[in-house]
Order: sequence, then structure tokens, then C-alpha cells
Amino acid sequence: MLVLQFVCSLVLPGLGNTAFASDDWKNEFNTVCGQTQNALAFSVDELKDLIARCDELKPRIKKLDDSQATERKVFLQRLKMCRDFYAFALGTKVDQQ
Amino acid sequence: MKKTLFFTGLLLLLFASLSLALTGVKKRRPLPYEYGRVELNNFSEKAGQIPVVFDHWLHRAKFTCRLCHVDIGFAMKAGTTGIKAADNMQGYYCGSCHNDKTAFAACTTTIPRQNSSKCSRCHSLGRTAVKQYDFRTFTQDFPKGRFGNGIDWEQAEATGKIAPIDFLAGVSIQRDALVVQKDFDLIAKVKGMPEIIFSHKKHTVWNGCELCHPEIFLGVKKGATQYSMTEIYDGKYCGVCHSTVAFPLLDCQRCHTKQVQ
Ligand code: HEC
Ligand code: HEC
Ligand code: HEC
Ligand code: HEC
Ligand code: HEC
Ligand code: HEC
Repeated sequence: MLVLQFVCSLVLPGLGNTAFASDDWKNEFNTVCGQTQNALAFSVDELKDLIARCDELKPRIKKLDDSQATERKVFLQRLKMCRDFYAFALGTKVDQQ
Repeated sequence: MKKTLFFTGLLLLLFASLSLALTGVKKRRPLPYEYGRVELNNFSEKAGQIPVVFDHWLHRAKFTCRLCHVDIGFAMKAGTTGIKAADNMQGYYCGSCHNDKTAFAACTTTIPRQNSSKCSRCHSLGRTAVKQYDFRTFTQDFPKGRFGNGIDWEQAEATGKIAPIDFLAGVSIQRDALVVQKDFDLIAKVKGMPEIIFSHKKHTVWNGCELCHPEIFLGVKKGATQYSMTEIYDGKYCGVCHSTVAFPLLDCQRCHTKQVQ
């Protein structure tokens, strides 16, 4: 995993850094989901990595307590759109090969 | 000859069923200012409040679809977001803007006895004269369209009558410029039917990729999803937006022409 993160930070500078900070989920969300518009420019591996990072984010957002119920609901929805779109983009790549 | 007749028949049939759907007893065709209106009443009446009226014409003149439906997270089907007063008060949904900064504030927990006019700008179903924006005055010099709001929204933007904002500080993610998809034609399957134009580029600027894929358009390969006009009338695919907020399906020629601009 660390290797992956290292490779990732070489390929996409600034992307891999926040991935494992324990509670900085919003930065991670912004980094991961702030690139949907470039999805088709990413390689299959980059897309797979972005999807994996979305999947890691999900339980962290789910864990927000009930005082943050709205934030939890909104960001789970936003994360879903973002993740599903990367999966769609990956589908078109795999299709082309 | 036979083919042409068959085709004309098909068109008429489609027209008939469409007009029925739009003008039938249950659903009359909305007036220009009503097109794109959403009435929200999941919680209001139960809590002793008047239901909320949300108008797309005013909001879409000011903001992109993408900002509200991707960044803020409003659902693409009326009533399904489940917006609560508490959400608005915490700065989500309507409260992303209706926070006394971007726009007048939304809900409070207690109903102000004197100043309920603050509430009734939104909690306004069935009330008149509680709103400050008047559709006719607001849109009077916008380029005209034939159906829906009676406005050509695309031209309104192209001619600078409106300049919808796509970024809301604290809500939107700072992004690189959009890498835009190559435009492509969608080819109608029925012979004799003028080809469909669909501009990926323009739609992406308005909507953002993730609003359409995969929720509305799942097909991975161009042409893999078979969609028919009947399904579109049913409110699927293009019909998600083009029967509710964007120019309606009655405007056949706007889609059934050639050339992608
Ligand atoms: C200011 C925010 C805002 C903007 C801008 C906006 N919408 Fe909406 N939209 C909403 C809200 C709020 C709803 C209702 C959601 C609910 O009821 O859960 C909605 C509902 C919808 C629906 C469902 C309507 C129905 O009758 O089921 C569609 C389709 C839609 N919007 C499309 C668009 C399109 C296309 C644009 C851009 C031209 C747009 N919206 C711009 C906030 C917005
Ligand atoms: C910017 C628009 C807006 C304004 C202004 C506004 N509200 Fe709301 N309010 C909403 C929306 C949207 C809902 C959810 C509607 C629904 O589905 O019933 C709502 C729901 C409510 C509810 C239902 C209970 C609940 O938990 O959701 C109450 C009570 C309420 N508002 C009180 C108020 C009061 C009091 C005011 C005036 C101080 C006010 N609102 C002003 C938009 C607004
Ligand atoms: C992206 C920002 C944004 C969001 C989200 C938003 N609005 Fe607005 N809304 C505005 C702005 C800006 C105005 C114009 C305010 C003004 O000029 O005083 C406005 C005006 C209105 C008005 C017009 C009132 C009048 O007097 O004519 C209503 C009603 C309204 N909003 C309801 C809602 C409801 C209900 C929601 C949530 C379902 C909502 N808005 C979500 C930005 C927003
Ligand atoms: C208004 C909705 C809409 C938006 C916004 C949109 N698309 Fe599409 N997209 C479509 C439609 C319709 C098709 C054709 C699907 C079919 O034929 O089944 C399509 C097809 C595709 C395809 C497969 C077709 C091909 O060229 O091989 C890809 C990849 C794609 N879109 C990516 C994107 C990306 C990336 C964005 C944002 C930059 C985007 N789309 C924005 C509606 C949209
Ligand atoms: C928002 C764009 C849009 C509008 C407006 C529109 N259509 Fe279509 N229409 C489509 C698309 C997309 C297809 C499917 C093309 C394909 O499969 O490649 C289609 C297909 C058709 C077909 C082929 C048969 C079928 O059912 O698929 C007919 C006939 C048709 N439309 C008639 C009409 C008529 C009549 C109107 C006006 C009342 C109309 N359309 C308005 C987008 C539109
Ligand atoms: C997510 C919402 C959405 C979906 C889905 C969508 N559109 Fe649109 N479309 C819009 C909006 C918003 C506009 C701007 C004009 C307006 O609102 O009337 C527009 C404008 C257009 C225009 C006029 C601009 C131009 O390119 O010349 C055409 C044609 C069109 N759409 C065709 C289609 C077709 C065909 C489909 C399905 C394949 C489709 N649209 C699906 C939202 C949508």
C-alpha cells in the first residue's frame, strides 16, 4: 500500500499525501473528487486508485456522529456520484482495450 | 409512400400521447412561470408550515445546474432530497446560499410571530404577493423560446443576459479547467427521422459529468444503451431534464436536427 502511495505521489503530485491522515476526510474528499472532470485523461491504474480512495473514504464519512447527520448525508451522496463516475470512466477505458 | 405514411402516423401518435400527458385532466400544461417549479412538502405541513415553492427559472438564471445538483447535492427528482429545516440551518441544501449572506436566510426553529414574511418567501404555496421576484419583469428582455419557460436559455447565456455562477465558496471544490469531451452526434435509429444533436461540451458546462454518468446515462459505449422516444417521454434519459427544467420535449426540432455546433 505504501508503495502504491509512493508511486501515486510520483505520478500525481500532491494526490497521495492526505490519503492516510486520520480525520482529514474532507481534504481527501476534495482532492479525490475534485478531478472528476479529468477522469478520461487518467490511466486505468490511476482510476482504480481513485476508486479505492473513494471506498476508503466511505466508512470514514459514515462514522460521523448524529450531530453531523446532514453533513454525513450530503457527503455520502457526493462521494457516491464521484465514485460511480470514476467507475464509469474506468469502464470506458477497459472497453477500449 | 407507405413508409412516409407510417412515419407520419407514428409522429401523430407520439404527439397525441404526449399532448395527452401534458394537457390531460390531471396535468395541465404549466404556464411559463410554472415550468420547472418544485413544490416541497415532505415536512412542512406536518410541522404546521405552508409548503415550500422552489422555482428553477430564478435560480438557474443565477447558478449552474451543476452547482446545485453536484456540489450541493439536490436530487434530480422532485421531493426526494428530503430537505429539513435543520439541514438549511446548518448551511446545507437551501441553506448553502440562504444563510443571510448569498441570499436571505432560510428556516429557524421558532416561527417568528411578527415577521413571518421572512418565512413566506419560501413557504408560499397558494399565497400570492409574498415574493419579490416577478417572472415577467425578470425575464422580459431574455431571448424568447417556444415552450417551457418561454425563454431560450441557451441564447440567454450566449448573449450575456445571464451568467450562471458555477462555484460556491466553502461548498464547491476548487477544480482545474474542464477537459471537455469531443462532441458527437447521436444517430436516430428510425429511418427518415432527422438525426439527433447532442452537444457533450455544452451539457458538461451546465451539468458536470457526474450528474449524467452513470445515473442518467449508464451506457459505457456510445450507442450501447438503446433508448426510445417513449422512454424519454417517460422521464428517462434526456427526459429527466427536458420534460421538467430544460426546454421540453414538445420542441421536437431542437433535438431532431443535424450538425453539432
Ligand atoms: C439553486 C439550486 C438549483 C439550480 C441552480 C438548479 N436546480 Fe434543479 N433542483 C433544485 C432543487 C432544490 C430541486 C428539488 C429537489 C427535491 O425536491 O428533492 C431540483 C429538482 C430538479 C429536477 C427534478 C424535477 C422534477 O420535477 O422531478 C430536475 C430534472 C432538475 N432539478 C434539473 C435542473 C437543471 C437541468 C438545472 C440547470 C438548468 C437545474 N436543475 C438547476 C435546485 C436547483
Ligand atoms: C430559502 C427558503 C426557506 C425559507 C426562507 C424558510 N424555509 Fe423553512 N423550509 C424550507 C424547505 C425547503 C423545507 C423543507 C420542505 C418540505 O419538504 O416540507 C423547510 C421546512 C421547514 C419546516 C418543516 C420541519 C422540518 O424539520 O423540516 C419548518 C418548521 C420550517 N421550515 C420553518 C421555517 C420558518 C419558521 C421560517 C421563517 C423564519 C422558514 N422555515 C423559512 C425552506 C425555507
Ligand atoms: C446556490 C445558491 C442558492 C440555493 C442552493 C438556493 N437558493 Fe434560493 N435564491 C438564491 C438567490 C441568490 C436568490 C435571490 C435572493 C435575493 O435577491 O434576495 C434566491 C431567491 C429565492 C427565492 C425568491 C424569493 C422572492 O422573493 O422572489 C425563493 C422562494 C428561494 N430562493 C427559495 C429557495 C429554496 C426553497 C431553496 C432550496 C430548496 C433555495 N432557494 C436554494 C440562491 C440560492
Ligand atoms: C447531459 C448529460 C451528459 C453529460 C453532462 C455528460 N455526458 Fe457523457 N454521454 C451522454 C450521452 C447521452 C452519451 C451517449 C450514451 C449512449 O449513446 O448510450 C454519453 C457518452 C459518453 C461516453 C461514451 C461515449 C464515447 O464517446 O465513447 C463517455 C466516455 C462520456 N460520455 C464521458 C463524459 C464525460 C467525461 C463528461 C464530462 C466531461 C460527460 N460525459 C458529460 C450524456 C452526458
Ligand atoms: C431532448 C431531445 C429530444 C426532443 C425534444 C425530442 N426528441 Fe425524439 N428522440 C430523442 C432521442 C435522443 C431519440 C433516440 C435516438 C437514438 O436512439 O439514437 C429520439 C427518438 C425519436 C424517434 C425514433 C423512434 C423512437 O421512439 O426512438 C421519434 C419518432 C421521435 N424521437 C420523435 C420525436 C417527436 C415527435 C418529438 C416532439 C414531440 C421529439 N421526438 C422530441 C430526443 C429528443
Ligand atoms: C442533466 C440535464 C440534461 C439532460 C439529461 C439532457 N439535457 Fe439537453 N440541455 C440541458 C440544459 C440545461 C440545456 C440548456 C437549454 C435549456 O435549459 O432549455 C440543454 C440544451 C439542449 C439542447 C440545445 C443546445 C444545443 O446543443 O444546441 C439540445 C439540442 C439538447 N439539450 C439535447 C439533449 C439530448 C438529445 C439529450 C439526451 C441525449 C439531453 N439534451 C439530455 C439539460 C439536459
